[in-house]
Amino acid sequence: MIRADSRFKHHPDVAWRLVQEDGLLVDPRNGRIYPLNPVAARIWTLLGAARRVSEIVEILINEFDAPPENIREDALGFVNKLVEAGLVVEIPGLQQ
Amino acid sequence: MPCVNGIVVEGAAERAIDEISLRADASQIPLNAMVELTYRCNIDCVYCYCQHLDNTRGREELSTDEWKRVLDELARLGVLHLAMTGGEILVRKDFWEIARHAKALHFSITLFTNGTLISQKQADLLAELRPTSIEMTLLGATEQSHDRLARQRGAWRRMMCGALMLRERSLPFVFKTTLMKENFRELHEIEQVAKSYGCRKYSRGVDVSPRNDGNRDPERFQLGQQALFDFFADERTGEPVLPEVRPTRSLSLQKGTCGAALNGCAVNPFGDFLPCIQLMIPFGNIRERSLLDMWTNPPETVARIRNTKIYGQVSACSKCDLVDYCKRCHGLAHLDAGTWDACDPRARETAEVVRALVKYKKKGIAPSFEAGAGREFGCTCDLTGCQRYAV
Repeated sequence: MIRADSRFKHHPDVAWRLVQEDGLLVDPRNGRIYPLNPVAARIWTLLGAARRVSEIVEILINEFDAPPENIREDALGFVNKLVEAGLVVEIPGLQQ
Repeated sequence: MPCVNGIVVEGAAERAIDEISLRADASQIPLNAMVELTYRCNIDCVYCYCQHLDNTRGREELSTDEWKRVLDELARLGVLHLAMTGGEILVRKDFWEIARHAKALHFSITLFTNGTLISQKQADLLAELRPTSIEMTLLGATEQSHDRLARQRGAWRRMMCGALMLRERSLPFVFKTTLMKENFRELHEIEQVAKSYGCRKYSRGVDVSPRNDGNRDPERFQLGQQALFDFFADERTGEPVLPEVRPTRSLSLQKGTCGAALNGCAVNPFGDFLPCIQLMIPFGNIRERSLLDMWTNPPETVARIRNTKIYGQVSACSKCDLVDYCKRCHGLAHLDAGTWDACDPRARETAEVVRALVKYKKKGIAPSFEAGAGREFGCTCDLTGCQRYAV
């Protein structure tokens, strides 16, 4: 399970591009292509800056008009999916 | 949708990706680009469109730094799917520097290579690069038939060694075949061979293009209409390659054209920025203007190409009786007639075959096509360099 103080980085093999507010990821290891909606694309961008998951959630809460608890749940669920798919890797040794 | 092999799209994701692609089109973001790093090649395939060109002599290929700048600008334009092709990409000594730069820019990279220069070291470097797809062309089911069309002894053996090295490293490679008169009889065997080497995907094409300078020699290898019909009618091979047939003319006129200059673009070895690898009407040259400037302020003709989004807007297609069956290429029309919105003669030939096939499937009436030239490949060939090959 994802911890709030975990930090991640994009897997270096994953290709990606932001398309205005959306995004597209391509995993060359299996040829899969993943669409990202605007919230997912924002999370992907923030993950690239090696922020803690908790920081990312706070930023989203300020940027998106939705109940904070929903945002937190959605964000953690999405990061978890990225981890499961191997699209991001945890940065070791930076947890508190 | 991406125009490269090896991409997997499933279920609901496909709809979402299509929607993102449509939004990219609406905002003129090209998700696809091809870069032709060089026209130099260590082999000399009979049907190649970029060898022995009359109009490139004396032109200087882009340098390493110029290619890096091109890639920087393509990334800024929004390109995701980047196909790197040639000539043969691995003859460029700076290929790995350019490729690593592309990876650092997060492109999804497809490599087109003849596979003959893949050594253990190159395969290790490919494993580090981790492209989305590595595409190689398999021209025959046997060493002899492949080497004859590649016009180089040993080409098959070296490519297949390369394929095995890629397989050992779990790299996703694709075999594809351009069907021609000379390999048509082997088509099923070629597929079996390709799959026996563990390729991720196998695909076939039936179109042989003129050379980029308009020289039509390669077309002599093109399948005639009867062979095309047999190919399309063969249930083992035909259905996936059939152009989409719309049920009515009014719908056919609404079908989309190829997206050149809209969702895709290309850069040739000399820095010409093109709507597509096949369409020789440049936006301009990167040595004179930035890609972004050329993309946002295209010449009038390129702007017209970009804005021609459906067949009904193409003058040659709007009154054509074959529009239901046709899959045109602006580039081939331009090479043939000197204007991009003319009829694409190869597409027309193919459309006649598709129309006959539809009729055959409905009414069981087998068509009769005029016999083509039916020339067998061999010593009568007068293509430049052909004499280099001796069985």
